[in-house]
Amino acid sequence: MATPTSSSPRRPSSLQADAALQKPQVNLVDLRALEYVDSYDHNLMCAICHSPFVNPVRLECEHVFCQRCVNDAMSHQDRDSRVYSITCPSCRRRIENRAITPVPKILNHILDDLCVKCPLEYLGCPEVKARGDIQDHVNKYCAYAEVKCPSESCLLTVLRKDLDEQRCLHSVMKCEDCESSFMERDLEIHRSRHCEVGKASCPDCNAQVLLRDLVGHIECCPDATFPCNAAEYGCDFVARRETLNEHLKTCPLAKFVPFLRMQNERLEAHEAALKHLRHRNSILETSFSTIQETLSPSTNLIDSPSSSAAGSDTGPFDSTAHHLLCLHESLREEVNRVSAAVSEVDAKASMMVMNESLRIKEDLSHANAAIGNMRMQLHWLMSARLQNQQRVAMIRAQSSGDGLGSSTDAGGSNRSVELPVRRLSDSTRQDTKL
Amino acid sequence: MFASKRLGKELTKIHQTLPPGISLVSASDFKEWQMDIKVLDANPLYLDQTYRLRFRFSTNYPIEAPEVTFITLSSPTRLIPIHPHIYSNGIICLDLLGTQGWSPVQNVESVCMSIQSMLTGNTKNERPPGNEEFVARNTQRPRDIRFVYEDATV
Repeated sequence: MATPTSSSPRRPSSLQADAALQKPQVNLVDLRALEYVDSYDHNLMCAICHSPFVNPVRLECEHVFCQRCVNDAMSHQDRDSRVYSITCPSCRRRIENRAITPVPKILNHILDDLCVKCPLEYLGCPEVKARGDIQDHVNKYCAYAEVKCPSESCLLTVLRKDLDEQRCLHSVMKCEDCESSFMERDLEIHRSRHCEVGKASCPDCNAQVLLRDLVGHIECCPDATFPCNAAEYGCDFVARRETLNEHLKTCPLAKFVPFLRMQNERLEAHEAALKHLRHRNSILETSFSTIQETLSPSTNLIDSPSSSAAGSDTGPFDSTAHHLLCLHESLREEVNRVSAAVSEVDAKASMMVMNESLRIKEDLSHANAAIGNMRMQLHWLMSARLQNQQRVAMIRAQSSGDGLGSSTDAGGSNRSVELPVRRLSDSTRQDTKL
Repeated sequence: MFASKRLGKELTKIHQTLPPGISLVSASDFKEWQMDIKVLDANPLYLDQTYRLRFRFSTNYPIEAPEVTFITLSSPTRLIPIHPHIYSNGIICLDLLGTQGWSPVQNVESVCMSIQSMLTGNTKNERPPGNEEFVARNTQRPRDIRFVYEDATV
C-alpha cells in the first residue's frame, strides 16, 4: 500500500529541511544529537525525539514539537494517507499543514541557553557552551574541528589545534610499538588511546600498563599516593589510599575541611560583593567630581575670596558631600551679606536723593521769590514809563492843537491812546509766561 | 537515525523508574529489547503469570512503530497470554502498534502499559477468530500485516 515518496507531493517545510541538510556547510551541528550538561525542564522536551526542542513549531492544538520531528512524522503519515494534513502525534487531532505556527521567541531563547557539550567531545574537546553558541564554537573556535591543512599542496584536513604547527601533518609515520602506520596527525591519539602494544610504567607502582589504560590505572592504582583532603589548609600528610583513609579519621584538619570550604565560599562571595560595591563607589565618586566641577566656576563668579578660602579648605573635608554642604553654607552667607549691603546702599541713596531734592526745592522757592520781586519792579517800571509817555503825549497834543488842524490832532491822539493798550496786553502775556 | 539516541534516553528513564508489573529483561542494543509484564489485579486468566514481550525497533523509531510480540520461553516459563486479540504465535492485534494507530510520542513504557491494561480488562478465555489458520499460514512480519481494528472495547 505504500506509495513511493517521489511521486507523492512533498510539503514545502520538508523540502526546506532537506535543503538545509544539503547545504555545503560541512560542520553543521545537529542540535538534536547534542548532549546536554544539566537536567532541563521536562516541559522543554520534544515528545518525539525526547530532546529539548530544536526549532520548535506549534500545531493548531497547541502541542509543540521540533520542526524536523513534525516533518518526519508528516512524511511518514503521508505515505499512508496521501492527504495534506497530519494528525497531532499527541492528541491525534487533524492538523492542516498551514496551521503550523512558530513558537514565541522567549521559548527559543530559553532553549538556546541550555548548556551542551561540544559535539566534538569524542575527539577531546572539553568545551561546554550554550546551545545557541555551539554552531559558532564548532565553526570558528573549537580546537578539534577539522580545517584545511596549512600546506598549500595538501587537500586533507587537520584539527584546528594543530594548525599552529604550520606544516602538513599528513605524512605517514609508524607507531613505535605496534608498527602500524598512521598519518602524523592521528599518531598521538592512536598511542594514547588505541595502541594495544605500547606500554608505560605507572609512576607509583612501577607496573607496566598499556599506554591507553594509564589514566584509568592511576585512578585505581593501590600504590598511588594522595595528599590529605586538608592539603590546601596545611596538612602535609601524603600516603597511599588505605593509609590515607586511616589518617582521615584522625586528622583534625580534615575534619575542618567542610567548614573551611564553606568559609572560603563565603569569603569569595563577600569579596565578589565587595568588588561590586567598590565599582559602584567609584562610579558615584566620579559623578560627584563632575558635579563639583560644574559647580565651582559659579562660586568663583559670586565671590572670589570666599571661594578661594573654600578651595584651600578642601583638604580637611573627609567627604565630598561634606565639602559640598560647606560650600553651600558659605554661598548662603555670601548671599545674605550681599543683600544686606545692597539694602544699605539703597537706604543711603534714597537719603541722599531726599536731601538733594529738599535743597533744590528751597533754591527753587528762593528763585521764585526773586522772580516775583523782579516782576513787581518791572511792573512798577512799566507803569512809570506809561505815565511818562501819557504825560509827554498830553503835553504834545496841547502844543500841536495850538499849531495844526483839528483832524490830524484827532488822528494823532487816537494813535497815542492805542499804543499803551497794546503794551499792557503784552505785559500781561509775559506775566502768564512766568 | 535518531532511534539510538531516543532509545538511549528511554533506557536511562527505564533504569530509574518503571510502573509496577513491568520490568526490563534485556536491552543489549538498540534493535531488540525484551520486557516482562504481569497483570496486577486478580484476573483469573493471567493470575501469577509473567509474559515476555519482544520489542524490535527499526532505524526510523519513533517515527515508525516498533514491532511488539509475545514470545514463549521454557525457562523461565513464559507463555503467550490468552486474549481475543493475541494470536497463539504471539502476534498482537492492537491499533497502537499499527501504522495508523502509532504515534511517535509513544514509547516502550507506554506500549507496555497499554498491553498490560488490554490484558487486565479482558474476560474472554479465547483466541482471535481464525487463529489456527492465521498461525499456520502467516509468514509476514507483524508490521506488514493489515489488521482491521473492529473491537472498540479494548
